[in-house]
This record gives sequence, C-alpha cells and structure tokens, in this order.
Amino acid sequence: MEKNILGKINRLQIPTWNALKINDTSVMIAFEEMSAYTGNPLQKEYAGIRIRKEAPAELRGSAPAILGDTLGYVQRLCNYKLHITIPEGFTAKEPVILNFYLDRDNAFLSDELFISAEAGSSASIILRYMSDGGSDCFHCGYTTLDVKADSSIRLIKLQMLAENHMGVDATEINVEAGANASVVLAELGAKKSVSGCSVQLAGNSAAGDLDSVYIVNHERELDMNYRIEYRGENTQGSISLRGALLDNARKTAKSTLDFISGAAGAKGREEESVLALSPQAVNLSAPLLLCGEDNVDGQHATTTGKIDEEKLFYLMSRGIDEKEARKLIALASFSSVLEKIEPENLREEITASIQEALNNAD
Amino acid sequence: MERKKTQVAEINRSAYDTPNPENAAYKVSKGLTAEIVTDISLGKNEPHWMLEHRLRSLEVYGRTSLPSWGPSLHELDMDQVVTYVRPNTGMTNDWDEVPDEIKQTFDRLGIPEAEKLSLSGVGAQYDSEVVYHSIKDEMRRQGVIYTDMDTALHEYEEVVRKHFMKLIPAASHKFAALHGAVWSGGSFVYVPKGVEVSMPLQSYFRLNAPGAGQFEHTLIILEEGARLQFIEGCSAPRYNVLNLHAGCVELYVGQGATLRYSTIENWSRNMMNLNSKCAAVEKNGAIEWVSGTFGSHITMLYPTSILRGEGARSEFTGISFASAGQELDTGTKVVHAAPNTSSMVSSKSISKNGGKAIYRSAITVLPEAKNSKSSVSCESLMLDSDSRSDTIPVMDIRNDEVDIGHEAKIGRISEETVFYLMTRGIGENEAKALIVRGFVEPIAKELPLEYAVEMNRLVTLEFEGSIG
Repeated sequence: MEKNILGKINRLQIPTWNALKINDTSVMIAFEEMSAYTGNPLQKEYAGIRIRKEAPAELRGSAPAILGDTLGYVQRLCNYKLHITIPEGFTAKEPVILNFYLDRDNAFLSDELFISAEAGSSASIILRYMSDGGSDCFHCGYTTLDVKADSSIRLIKLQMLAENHMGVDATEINVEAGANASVVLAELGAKKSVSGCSVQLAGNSAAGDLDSVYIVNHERELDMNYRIEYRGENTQGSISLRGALLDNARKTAKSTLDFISGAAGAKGREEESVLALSPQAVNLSAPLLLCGEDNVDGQHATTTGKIDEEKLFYLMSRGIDEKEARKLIALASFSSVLEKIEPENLREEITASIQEALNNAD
Repeated sequence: MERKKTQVAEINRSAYDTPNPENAAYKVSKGLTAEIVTDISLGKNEPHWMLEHRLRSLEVYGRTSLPSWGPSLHELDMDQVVTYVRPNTGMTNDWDEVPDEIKQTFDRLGIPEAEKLSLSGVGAQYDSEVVYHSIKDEMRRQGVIYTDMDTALHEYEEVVRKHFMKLIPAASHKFAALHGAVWSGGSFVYVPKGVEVSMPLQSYFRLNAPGAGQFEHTLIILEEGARLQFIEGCSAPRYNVLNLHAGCVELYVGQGATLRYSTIENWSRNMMNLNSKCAAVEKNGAIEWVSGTFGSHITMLYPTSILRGEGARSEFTGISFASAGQELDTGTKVVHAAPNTSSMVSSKSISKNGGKAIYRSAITVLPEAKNSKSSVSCESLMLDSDSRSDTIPVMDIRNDEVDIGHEAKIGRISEETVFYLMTRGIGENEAKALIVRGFVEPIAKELPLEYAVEMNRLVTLEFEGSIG
C-alpha cells in the first residue's frame, strides 16, 4: 500500500476499460497509526443477545476480492471490535443499535464487527456512523455477517458523516440454507464515501436483498460496489439502488449478480434508478451480470433521467409549487427502499436528511 | 430425473476450414522489427509519410502493454507471427484472371455468385493483399469510388492522409499500434454528396497462410446525404498454430448520411481476432452496425460510434455464438458528444459446450450532449453449465437532460412459455423452435440475406427435452 492511500478497493469483479476509471477506487487516509476510539456506540444491553468485545473463535476466510484490502487495513489499525451473537432460535424484540460518533476526541474509527445469527434466529441490527464536521475524521470499517440456516436478519447501515470527512465501509455476508438476509445501506454523507457489500447465498434456498438509498450533493463523491453471489440451488436475491445527484456530485455504482455453476433455479434481480438533478453531476454505473449456470433467471435494469415533466405538471396543476413538486417526486422515487427501514423514527431521520439535501439543491 | 437439454448444432465449417497449399509470392520473416515494417512499406512503394507513420506506430507498439482487462492473450507470441504474405497474383477486376486455387476458395464462399445477384461491388483479399476488386459501372458514373487501400494511397493520397488512423490512432491500444505498423490491404470507399448506393458493397477477407496475421484497413467516407450498405466477411482455414487478425475500420459519416456496416466474422478456431472499428457521425447522420461473431478462438471487438453532430444516431445490432474453445468478448462503445443524439444497442448471445460469451459496452454522454437518449438491451442464452455468459456494461453520464435505459437478461428459455404455446395447440418441439428462433430473429432479420440463411442453419435444433 502506498503511503497515505488505501488503494484498489471496491474493485469491479471483472475489470473493463481503464479509461472509464471504474475498475477500482482509492481514498487518501490521514491515519496511518493506531489511535484509541473511546466512544460508546452500544448504549444498552439487549436481553438474550450475547455481545462480546472480542473476535469469534473460528477464523475468518479470505475477504471477497471486490472489497480489496479494506479488511487488512481495518485489522492493522482496529480500535473497536465487537461480536454480536443472536442465539439459536431466538427472536429479538427490538433492533440492536450501535451509534458510532466521530469528533475531535475520537477522530479515527477502525471497527471490525462480527454478527452471528445462529440457526432459526431473527434480529435487526442498526449501525449509524456520524461525525462532527469541526474536526478531521476518518471511518474505515468491516462488518462480517454470518447468517446460519433458517435464520432471518436485517442489517441497516446509515452513513451520515460530515461533509469534510472520509468513510470506507465494507460488509461481507454469508447466508446458509433457508436463511434470509436483508440489507439496507443509506449513504447520505461524507466528502468521499466508499461502500462495499458482498453477499454470498451459500445454502440452498438462501435469500438476500440489498437495497441502497443515496443522495450525493455539493462536491461529494460516492463509490458503491455491491454484489450477490448465487451458490446454492434455488437461491433468490436482488440489488436495488435508488438515488439522486445534485450540484457537482460524483457517483459510481458497481453492482454484480454472479451465478456460480451449480446454482440451479437461482433468481436474481438488479435495478438502479438515478435521478439526475444537476447538469454538472457525474453518474457512472456498471451493472454486471455474470453467469456460469444455465438454469437461472437473472435480469437487470438501469434508468437515468430527469424528473418526469408529466408528473411535475400534474402536481403543479394541483396547486403545488414547482420546487415542492420536484422534491415530492424525488422523494417518491426513494419510497421502495425507505419503506424497508424500521423503526419509524429511523426512517423519518433518513427522510429528513434527504429532504434537507433536496431543499438546499437550488 | 436428469434434465435433458436442447442441442444447437454447430455450423458446418467445411467451406471455411479448407486450406489451400501455401503458394505465396513473398512473405516477411516471423516477428516484428523496424526492418520488416520498412520492407512492407518499400515493397508497396508507399509515400514517405506512411513509412514514418508505420515506424512511429511500431515505437508505440513497443511501449504499450497488453490490455489489463478482457480475455488472456498469453498464447499470442508475436515472434511467431508472419505479418505480411503477398499472394502469387496481382489485383484484377476479372475473376478469370484470379489464379484457380484462390478463385475456387472464393467460389466456395459464394462471393462471385453474390456479386452477380445482389452487390454493387466486391473486393476480395487473400492473405495480405487484395486480389480482386470491381464496382458496377453505374456506381462509378455517379462518382462512387471503391478500390483497395494501396491504390487509394497512391491515387487519393491527400484524402487518405487526412483520414487514415485519425479515429483510431496508434496510441488507442497495443493492437491499433500493431496495425499502424504492419497494415496491408483493405478497402477504400468514397460516396459523393447525395448519392445513394442501391445495392451493398462487399469486401471479403480470407487468410490462408498458417501462422500469419491479417491487418487490412477499411476507410469509408460518406459525404452529405449519401447512403451505403457495406458488408464485410472474414474467414480462414483451421491450423494448429495461432493466426492473428488486427484489422482497422474507420468510417466517416457526413451530415444526414446513413451507413450500414455489416460484419460476419467466421474465423477459424485458431484465430485471435483483435479488431478495431470506429465511426464518426456528423449532424443528423446515422451509423448502423450489424455484427455477427461466430468464429475465432478469442475475439475482442467493440465497434465505436462517436456522435459528434447534433441529431446524430447509432444503432448496434449484434449476435455472438460461443462454443468449445471460444472466448468472444464483444460489444460496443458510444460517445454522445452533441445535443439530441441517440443510440440503440441490441445484443444477443448463445453459449454452449464450454464457450464463453461476454458482452462489454461503454455508453458515454458528455456535458454538451443535452437531450440525448440511449437504450441498451442484451440477452444471453445459456445452453449448459459448462459455458459462461457475462454482461459488463458501463454508463458514464455527465448531464441531467438525458434519458438512458439499460436492461439485460440471462438464463434459459422458460418452461412456462413453452407450456403456454402448447396450450394454444402448438407441439412441444415446434414451440421450442419458435422460442429460439424468436430469440435470434431480431438480429437475423438485420443480416444480409445469405448470412441470415447461414445463421438459421446454425440454430438448427435437435429437440430433446427442454431448452437450456
């Protein structure tokens, strides 16, 4: 690794023309040495759920190649580690919430999180990353989610770092037979955010959904790299990206459905809808569909466009002014992802953040 | 119960794979050196600027790496490739003057027959040189020029100099540089303002020599309002050494002009097909690419459309058929560089017996290309799990007044559709045939007739069990 650069992360699974500058990305990093994180993200105990500040006994396999060396960096400079276990057959009644806050006293966070959902368990986990814009902060995190047979887990990651901060976040998920993983990634902040997620549907009839909602404004940059690997028979998974681009934003969305030979009966969907609200914004998309098995059904669709003039006209004919009408239409485009976010107050928080960005767009 | 699969027959390659004995008048040594490049240029009595261009390209080749993406090209050893083979005949416009063994090759491929029936002109290249070129008198009277590149370089030197390797400069990639150094043969077409060429022109490229490369250059210029359909066919016999094809096609489509460029590539399975094609389209002009990729060991081919005039449009219609030992990495690139431009891409692929079909594309919309539209559709049919089918599209959009859509599907043909057709009284086999023919039909109907017939033969089905 070159000094002060975390390079070749969020790699496109199969590279293409270098001139497109989409094969990977890199971030400048201000932190090359370990520093303590003294924040307290976990502010209560959750009955029935085991939470330990140590790594699980079993060794981790190698990280998915698309995430690059994010795991290596996190492990070298890790200053926060947590292992959450949802016991076998246990159903959590409330979501487990971790609030990571970065500020002058805790400017650097390198968190390595393990979440084990034992067989037949069910839970929601919410991870929020926020920062105080008055200081120089950097977040780099790696989450491993192990979803055992017939369990069901929902993971919501909310990135709301201040606009002058950098964030790198990677998630690796393994889903066993009959289990279900639902992931919502909300990307709403940071000067540059690199968000990667690789879901492996390893067991037969495993299911995984990956939804992302994002808004990129001002001079901000967002690089997403999401992948579902279908390995088991009759697996089902989808990737859905909904976002809006404002001002001088730059967004790169790499999404991959990868059907491995043997995944007979697998079904995959991939869709991206981008609302371009600025003539200066840069919008790159690479929706990959990779297939080594004939008995599958894979589809993707991407649309990029401006706000539908007919919808705008309709709302304005109902007495809503143009600015408000544009905001309503943009918000409506996010609704399919937003409605998956629970509890309600979290959904409202995200919605408010999007509204604020849209309000400031003009 | 084991699921049975529908078989799609291999193409009958006997017409393509039959070699002639080697009987070259001259060929250069294996490998790539400044002496070889100079030798080729001096042998053609080229202007000095072309020799300089060749030597500059050779320098670029030497300092350019192989692509870091796409199929592995490790099998290619340029030290073993003969870059120039002159056949034992000159160029003529009379088939009777073409040596029998070469004429028989083109007879087998149906070229003289097609010329009589449905073409405005024909060019035939054998190894590194064009051996036959003709154009109907009516076209000549209207000012249409259709000749080989060597003749064009001497008779229309300034036109060639203005356009040659300007759309695909040597620095584009390693094999463009290679082409710039050792190019030979190819066709030159000029269609004057307002002239519509009623029947297509066809150039056919045949590589006979084992271990050789073919590097033909095609340059087509359509003035304002002109129309042309150009057909390019390529084949080679099969050898157990690698052959290399690194041709270059540059198309200039003037204001309001329309060019349809159809390619049927049927190289043998020992061919590395690393070809480059690019069209620049002016205001309200149109380029229509029709591309069928059936042969070769490895293909990397991405016809590029630069829509640089307002209202310019491009269409790409492509099909590839990858079988055992084949890796066909094909697709297209479009650059929307002016307002109100539009592009449409329709790509289909079939892979079987361990073949690998890759669709790769890049749609770029520049800030000045307001109100541009692009629609991309690709579908892949997998016939077994030994094969691969990958779709790798990229969209780079840099303004907000656009309408861009991309969709792709992959998989086998649904049993529900077969069932539906059967409930309407259609037999199972017929239902399956309908579905597969429906899959390739949007492409087949765009192909020149004789090639459409050939493709229909290709997808002759032996029905046994379900498709897929």
